Amino acid sequence: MSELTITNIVKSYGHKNVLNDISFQAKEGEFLVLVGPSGCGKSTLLRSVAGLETVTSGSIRIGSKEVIGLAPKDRDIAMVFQDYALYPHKSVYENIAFGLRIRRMPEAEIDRRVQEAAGKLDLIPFLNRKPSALSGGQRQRVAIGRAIVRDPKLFLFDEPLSNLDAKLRGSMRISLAKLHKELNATSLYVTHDQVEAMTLADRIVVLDSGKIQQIGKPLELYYRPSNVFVATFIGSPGMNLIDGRLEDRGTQMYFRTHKGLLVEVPTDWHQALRAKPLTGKDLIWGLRPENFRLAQEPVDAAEKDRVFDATTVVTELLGPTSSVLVDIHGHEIYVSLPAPHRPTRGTRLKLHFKSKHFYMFDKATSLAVIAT
Amino acid sequence: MKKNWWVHGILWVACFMSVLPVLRVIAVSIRPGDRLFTTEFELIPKVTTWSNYTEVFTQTGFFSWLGNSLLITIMTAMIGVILSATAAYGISRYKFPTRSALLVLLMGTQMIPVVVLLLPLYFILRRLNLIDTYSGVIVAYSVTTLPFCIWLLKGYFDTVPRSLEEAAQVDGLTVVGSFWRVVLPLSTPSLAIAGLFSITQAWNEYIVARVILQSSEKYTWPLGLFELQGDFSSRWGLFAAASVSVSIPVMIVFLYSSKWLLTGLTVGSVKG
Repeated sequence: MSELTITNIVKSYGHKNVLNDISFQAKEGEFLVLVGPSGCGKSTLLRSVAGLETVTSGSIRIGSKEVIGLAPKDRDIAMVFQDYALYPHKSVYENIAFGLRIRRMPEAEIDRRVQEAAGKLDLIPFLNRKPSALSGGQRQRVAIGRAIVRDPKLFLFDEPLSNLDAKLRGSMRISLAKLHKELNATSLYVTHDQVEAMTLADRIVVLDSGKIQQIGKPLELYYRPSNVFVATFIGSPGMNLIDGRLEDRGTQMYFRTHKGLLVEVPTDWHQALRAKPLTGKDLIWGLRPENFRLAQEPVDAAEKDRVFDATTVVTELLGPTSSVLVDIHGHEIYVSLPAPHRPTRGTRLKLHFKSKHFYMFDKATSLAVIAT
Repeated sequence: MKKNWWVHGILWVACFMSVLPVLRVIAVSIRPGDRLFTTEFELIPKVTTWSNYTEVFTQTGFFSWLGNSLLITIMTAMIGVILSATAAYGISRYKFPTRSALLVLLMGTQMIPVVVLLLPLYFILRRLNLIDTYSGVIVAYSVTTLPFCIWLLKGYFDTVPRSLEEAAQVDGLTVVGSFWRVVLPLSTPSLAIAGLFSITQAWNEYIVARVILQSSEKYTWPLGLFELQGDFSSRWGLFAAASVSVSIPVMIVFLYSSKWLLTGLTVGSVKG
């Protein structure tokens, strides 16, 4: 196992940069997830690490070895593809053994390793089958088997679960997490699914438009997003954003939305906000749906500035929670309410917003104005 | 059921129409010489003889023609398949500036009848000192079958998922290695079709061979057969017997290769 160091990677087609000065490091044994929307460059980056794409400039090191310019076979990596990419003319056994055969490993060693990998992945009963006789989940396990049997320096996963159905994806996610605990192998994992990223990653690299938006542990990204993109991308349903400005009235501080709603800013944040010249600036306030709850009646006087009158627009039942789109003073906002609450359209609600974490962004730069 | 009956009826008629001439040739080949020009419509002659066959095998250069044809055909098919597979792979996998123009050009060459190419082909081969050589015929046949085979194989390679080769390269193969050990084994149906196409083209070809081959010991069987037509009389019995004999190798090739023509080999490799 080795660490992966990516420094100043740029890839451009003509004048368009698909990867823009990307630098990060995956430590030895770390499970690093690259996440971002379609077209953000995450797969291109992964494929560049694999050697299946060339980069315009920059450096990629696996361990201490610079791999730019090396063929994929000389990088000592293993990769799991989105579409499995199993060799259809070979049996499951031969699919797993193929990479070892190419390296001319002794037959006994090949057999030992294949059996071991197949055992870990519950593939023993299927070793003599062709990939066409397997289900999607089994095929994906073969693809993973083909990777782990090689014992490479680095594992690359290119959206390996995205072709599976939701239930299977859940169980494969667990299997992958277990496998990683067992192998403790440096892994780079690409996905567009933020749930996968949150659950599997030691650290997450959020990419958008070929640029790194933020790197951090899953909960860091959730609680301390560095910009609007990360704030809305991490968390489901995404963060609500309201445009407005700060009003400082001495002992109290208010956020006045562009539709005229006045919200009191918790006193904890006054000092941090006053430290920056924010008054008069166009800002964005971020409210996580899960930070709303139904207000207790009667409303506590101290809390009344953070209790809103809301009208239900749409309710989506998710089982344990309901995602409710409400109208608060002309702002459409998603709130998550626990299961017993299933307000129908037009129902009036009193919603209490309470959060330890305060998200405020500069509208001009999209960057967070205070780190909390 | 009624529809099936119609379909089967049409198929039977079509089958009968295509098999009838073959049966006639077989019938003619086993008739004694004095009954060649009978007007009776008999598929199985009342009197049969193998004398036409024995005469073809012993009195003519039949085996020499057959050998020449086999040599030329096998070489044509091999060169044709190797060149078209590599060319098609390049066209299928790599984008280069003249790619689409090249494909159209290749298609365009198929529109030109071979007769029109005869004279230029003759001059080129003469310049290369390949007139009256096997190599000359092999070169001429290979280049004329290449465009079709390239199109055929390119179409197939386009359907082989790229991720298979990428997986092979990550597993430790070079680009050429992944082509050889992953793409080609998956392409046996279309390689077989390309091979069969080259074989039938080369096996049956007459006019190019007529122009290039001049000494009779290098004749392929179509040229040899033509020798049997004398200036004053044509020996139809021999002609028929030789025709039947030369069609046997081709039929064997077809029957043998049919097992390679199974499609759907790539099913299950990637998420469909």
